[in-house]
Amino acid sequence: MTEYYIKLTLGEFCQELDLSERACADLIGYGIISPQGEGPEDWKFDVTMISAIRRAIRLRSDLEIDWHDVALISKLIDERDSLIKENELLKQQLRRFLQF
Amino acid sequence: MEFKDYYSILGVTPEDDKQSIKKAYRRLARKYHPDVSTEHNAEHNFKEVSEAYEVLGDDDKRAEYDQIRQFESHGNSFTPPPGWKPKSGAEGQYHETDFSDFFATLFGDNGRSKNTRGFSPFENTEDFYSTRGQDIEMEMPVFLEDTLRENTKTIEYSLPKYGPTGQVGSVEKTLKVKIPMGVGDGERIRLKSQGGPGFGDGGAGDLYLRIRLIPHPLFDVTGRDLNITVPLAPWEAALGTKVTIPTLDGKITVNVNPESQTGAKLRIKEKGLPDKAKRGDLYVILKVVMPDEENSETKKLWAQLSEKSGFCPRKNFGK
Repeated sequence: MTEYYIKLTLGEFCQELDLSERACADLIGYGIISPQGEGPEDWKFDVTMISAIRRAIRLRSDLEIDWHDVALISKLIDERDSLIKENELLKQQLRRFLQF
Repeated sequence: MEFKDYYSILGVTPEDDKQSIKKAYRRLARKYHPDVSTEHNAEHNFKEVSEAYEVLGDDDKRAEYDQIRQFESHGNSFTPPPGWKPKSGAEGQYHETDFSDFFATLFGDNGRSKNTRGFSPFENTEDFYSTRGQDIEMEMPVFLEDTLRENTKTIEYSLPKYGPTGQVGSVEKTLKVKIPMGVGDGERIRLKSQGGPGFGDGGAGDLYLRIRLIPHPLFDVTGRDLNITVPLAPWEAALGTKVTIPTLDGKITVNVNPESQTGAKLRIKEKGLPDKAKRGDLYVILKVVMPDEENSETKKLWAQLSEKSGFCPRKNFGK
């Protein structure tokens, strides 16, 4: 029942999100997600990409912005999250370094 | 029931036009959107702003709301006028919403427009009476030690329970989940059809477990590598030594070279976190620590060292 290292095909991915393949290809074109593989036949989608698309759809509809803006905001959110994580790690290392 | 002042929530006045309301909504939505905002109450604020815009951004709902505002009694709980019936909400159809009781009382549980937040902007092929259940995402805290091998964890969560007219309660669910070896922070495990129940003929949603590695008292995680800071006495750093350090799977002894500096890193291969293919490395970061207390004998030895050594760490300082 547990699926872990799942890679979804384009068809499975679209079914999961209730999207047409065309719409999915458009989102890939905007750079919101980047599946592995050369073209639609080979594309393999990671489970985290489901969340990324859901977030993109929420952002577009809630903030009433276009897909270019969504792609930019998604990229900036990911970068921000990664910097927050890196900052936490560095702070933690600094604390360890100062504690003795 | 608390009266909701939608105008105040959006920071607009009843005289403001639709364009101003839209502008105010967009500004606040960007500020509070849970995907964007880092404020702790962002989700609550965003729901309030969304609810306010759902009403004030729709001419019919706004007209009904303006009508009902006359019945607001300041300081007391709000009760709608006798015989109040929503006009703008569709009746008899289920639609999940997080809006307030106030909204539900005024516009019905189904007052939220169908083509709104959370729906696919591309298409909606679902039969409105048969809706797939909601996907649920939960955090799964995992100890670093538990990533070394497959583990079984028990999780408990609640799912909504639906009757013919919508949600009628919730049910508690318990599941045993296998957490595979080598899970990483932020990764997701999907449990198919273990999410919210579908409505009508719609299937159940999925349950996603988002892995969160629990911070370790000794090790910091960088990707698959681990870092550990190891204190050394000044003479250990000067002369070199062997130190025993903990790893996730037992203690090991490492050689510290003579003349080691604070901040020097020793790489211990394949003692980090496991991946599908191999394990990351463990980095031992050295830190020279002065003794807390000195007696007269050790002070004398330091003095001797000071006289004999020509070392000055500030030789090029400020040059």
